[in-house]
Amino acid sequence: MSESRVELACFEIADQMVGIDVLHIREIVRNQETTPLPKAPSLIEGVIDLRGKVIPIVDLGRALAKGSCQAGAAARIAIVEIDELVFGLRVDAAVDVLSVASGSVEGPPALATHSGYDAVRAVVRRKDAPPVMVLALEEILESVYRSNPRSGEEAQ
Amino acid sequence: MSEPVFESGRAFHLRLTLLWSVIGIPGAMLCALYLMTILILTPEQWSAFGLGVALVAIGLTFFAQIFLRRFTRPIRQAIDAEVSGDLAADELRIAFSALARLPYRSVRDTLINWGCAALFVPLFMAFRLESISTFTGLVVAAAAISGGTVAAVFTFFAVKRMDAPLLNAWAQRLPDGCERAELMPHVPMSAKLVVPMLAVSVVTLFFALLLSDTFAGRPVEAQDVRVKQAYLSYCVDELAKDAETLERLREIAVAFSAAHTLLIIDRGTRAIVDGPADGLRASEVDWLLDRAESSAGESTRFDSENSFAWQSLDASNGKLLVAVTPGSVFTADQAGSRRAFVGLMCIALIITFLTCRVLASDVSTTTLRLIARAEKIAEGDFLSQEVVESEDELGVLGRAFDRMVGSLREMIGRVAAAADGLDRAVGDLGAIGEAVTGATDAQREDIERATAQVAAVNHKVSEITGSAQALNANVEEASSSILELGAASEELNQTATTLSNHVEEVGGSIEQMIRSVAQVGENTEGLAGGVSETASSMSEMAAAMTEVDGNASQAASLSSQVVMLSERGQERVHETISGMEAIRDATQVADTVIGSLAARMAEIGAIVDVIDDVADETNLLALNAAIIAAQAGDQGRSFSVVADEIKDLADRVLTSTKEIGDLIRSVQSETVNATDAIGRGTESVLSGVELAADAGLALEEITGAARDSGGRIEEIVQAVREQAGAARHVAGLMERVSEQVEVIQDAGREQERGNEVMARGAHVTRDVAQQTQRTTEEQSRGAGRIRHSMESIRDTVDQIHAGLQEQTNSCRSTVSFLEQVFERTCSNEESSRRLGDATRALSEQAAVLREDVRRFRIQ
Repeated sequence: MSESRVELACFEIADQMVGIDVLHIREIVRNQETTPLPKAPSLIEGVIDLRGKVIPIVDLGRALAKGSCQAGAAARIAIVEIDELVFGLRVDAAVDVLSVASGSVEGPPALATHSGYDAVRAVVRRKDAPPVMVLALEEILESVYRSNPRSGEEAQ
Repeated sequence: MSEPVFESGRAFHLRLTLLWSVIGIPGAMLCALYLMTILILTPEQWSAFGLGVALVAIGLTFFAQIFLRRFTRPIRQAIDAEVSGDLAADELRIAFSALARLPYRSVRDTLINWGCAALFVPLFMAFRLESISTFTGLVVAAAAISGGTVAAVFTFFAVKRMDAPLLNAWAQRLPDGCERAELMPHVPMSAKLVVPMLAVSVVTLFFALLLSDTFAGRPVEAQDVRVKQAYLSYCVDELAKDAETLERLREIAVAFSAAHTLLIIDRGTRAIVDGPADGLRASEVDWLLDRAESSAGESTRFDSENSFAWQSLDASNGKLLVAVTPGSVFTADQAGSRRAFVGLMCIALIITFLTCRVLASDVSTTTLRLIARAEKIAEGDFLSQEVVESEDELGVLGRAFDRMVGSLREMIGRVAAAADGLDRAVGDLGAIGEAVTGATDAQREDIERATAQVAAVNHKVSEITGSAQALNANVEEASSSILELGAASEELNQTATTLSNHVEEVGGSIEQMIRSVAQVGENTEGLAGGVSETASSMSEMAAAMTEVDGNASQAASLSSQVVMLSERGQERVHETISGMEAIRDATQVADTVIGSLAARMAEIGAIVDVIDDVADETNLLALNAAIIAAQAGDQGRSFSVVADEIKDLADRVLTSTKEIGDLIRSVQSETVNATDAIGRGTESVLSGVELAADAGLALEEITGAARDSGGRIEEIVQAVREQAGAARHVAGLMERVSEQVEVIQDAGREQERGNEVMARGAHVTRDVAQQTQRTTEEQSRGAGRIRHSMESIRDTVDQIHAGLQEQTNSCRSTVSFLEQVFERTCSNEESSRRLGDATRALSEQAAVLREDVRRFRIQ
């Protein structure tokens, strides 16, 4: 295996494929009800109890400004870890693990990065399929931090 | 259970000791060297200290061996217990834990042994032997430490390699991965990597020290140059005293290796004035003179094999005394040190290679076993007892494999059970479909039989209609005969009236006869003609009466035939009703069967939902497994193939369950259709039963009417017979009239016998004529009654005809309803056939699912 490869866990958000490096993924679990946190950043849906650990959940659809995820039977929560911080991302569906050659990974379009849209770290081309957006988890985390605390009626 | 790896605990210990001995040979040699060093010391240098140090070193080694022997005791006992076949679980756990820690214990003991040698012996030497420098002591200590480290690394991997089969065999007997993880020491792979690298570093440090020791020989060379210059100064002094001593000095120089030869060069002539003329080449002389500006010096020319040292013989620097030493001497020294360098580097390389190879083979053996395991799982063999045990991350991966295989086995077992349930349900469904088909066939046969029966009823009814028409025709005929009879009666009546008139005339004529006897004979002739005419009319009437009688009897027999046929029709109608009820019962059975079929379908739906859930869970599990495999990098590649395979399988199961769900929905909708059709069929049957009951009622009415008509006909027959009797009576009277006429004729002839007799005769005649007139009037009334009866018969026959028409219509509508029922039954059959097809498709899907499941060996 001389060619270096990138392993991506692929998810579906509003009929679009996004990828996260598997090294950040700890686990994928079924979607479950969250308990809201008062005065938490609005992008944090709440927390869940995953085998005795309390894990905050971020709706990836809202974090990417694509609208809330549909709570269907295929909905999943991807438990990710970055900088020793563990949190969950709610997605519409978990699709597959994609192993791509490093050659087919490109940077995001310059227009997107210049306009401050930096949640996409790279774009992976695929044969006969739309490209996969590789997400920058740090930026998503940053946007979670930047989001305003939820107001009183939202917390209801 | 596999064979024990060692035949006894003793064999295990022997092999372990042999292993330590082989690896300990260099250490033993080093210890022997130190002992020899101690032994060659002079007795004064012997001391209790040295002996004590040696004893401490030996004692530590000895105690290390004893502790190791105690440490391996549970392992040996467990092996003996395994050979004899009564190995307890607690004993096995203790022995497993000890066996897993044995390589580390070996490393500790080896390091203790070599550490003693590395510390105590050089310390002792440094204290007791002044001739040994601190540097040499350090080198010795470094040698011992590096040797000990290398020996520890080799001991570790050799012991690990030796007990790996036993460890894996015992791990199979402890299938719980968590329990094994608690028993295993946890050593990260990084630590495993660090220890050989540390060994290599120490070895390299040791050889660097040795190299620095080698290069420490350079001051010796400088010393040599100094000796050479001193000797040259001595030569200059000697030559100043006696010029002839050069040859002797040269011999001394050669003898003590101070120089190869001695030369004197004149700077002015640039020629060798003393010494062998071929000792130096001209270029070398020029080079030397260019360099030798100072009074003394030494140099080595790069392109010459000689090195030079020189001193001026006089102050004006006119002559030079040159000591020539061939460079090959230095070259030989340099070559020697180079060889030593290359040799040391080779040894360091070999040690590095061996330690790295040992580490790599340790990792690769475990990895290859993991790969073999993963390929077995990929082939679907979940029963493999191969257990991969290692104390690093590969061991953790191996235990994760165990857990994954366990959960996959459980899950595929559940899928197989669900497939079996599906199979059974499909079998039940097929049986139900066959039952439905059988019921539908029976229903169709019943309907065909009912149709045939109704057709037979129809046929009979049309026969009855034909008979009724024939009866009608006969009645018409009888009616016309009766009318004829009526006409004859009228004629008879007129005749009787005429007779009466004649009798009146006779009465008058008797008066006349009295007055004119001559005409009596003539009148009597006329009377005789009238009487004979009357008699013939009467016999004609009697014949007509007989004919009426025959026709009436025929009508009576036809009426009884109508009654009989109507009763048979009633029986057929009852048969039809019972056939209809059989159809209704069969339809209800079909309805019940289809209802239970729908319930089974719902059960199958529930099972399919369970399978769907399991497949979804499998999908999630396979995705997580694929992520873990991807995180493991190249080593997880084969595992990711397994995960993909499982994911594909789960996807196929999901597709199959979706198809099964569609099939179930279509079967359910068909079931609803079938239920509706059966409901409609039941309604049709019920209306058919009602119609048949109506037909039965109509037939009963016909029977009643026919019986009534029979009674009327009997009355007619009675009246006709009565009339016939009256006619005969009239005929008898006419005979008597004839006789009376003859008597009258006789009396006419015997007129002379008296007028009184003639008058009495005329009276009697008039009475008879009046009686005749009454009789004919009575006969005329009888004919009117007959006509009335015939009209009522005709009405009855018309009524019969209308009833039969009605019955025929009823039969036709029954037949059409039966045809509708038949069509519904056919559609029922079609539904049940489609149900059978659906069941077969379901069965095929179940077979595919079962085939998929069968690929996995899980029990």
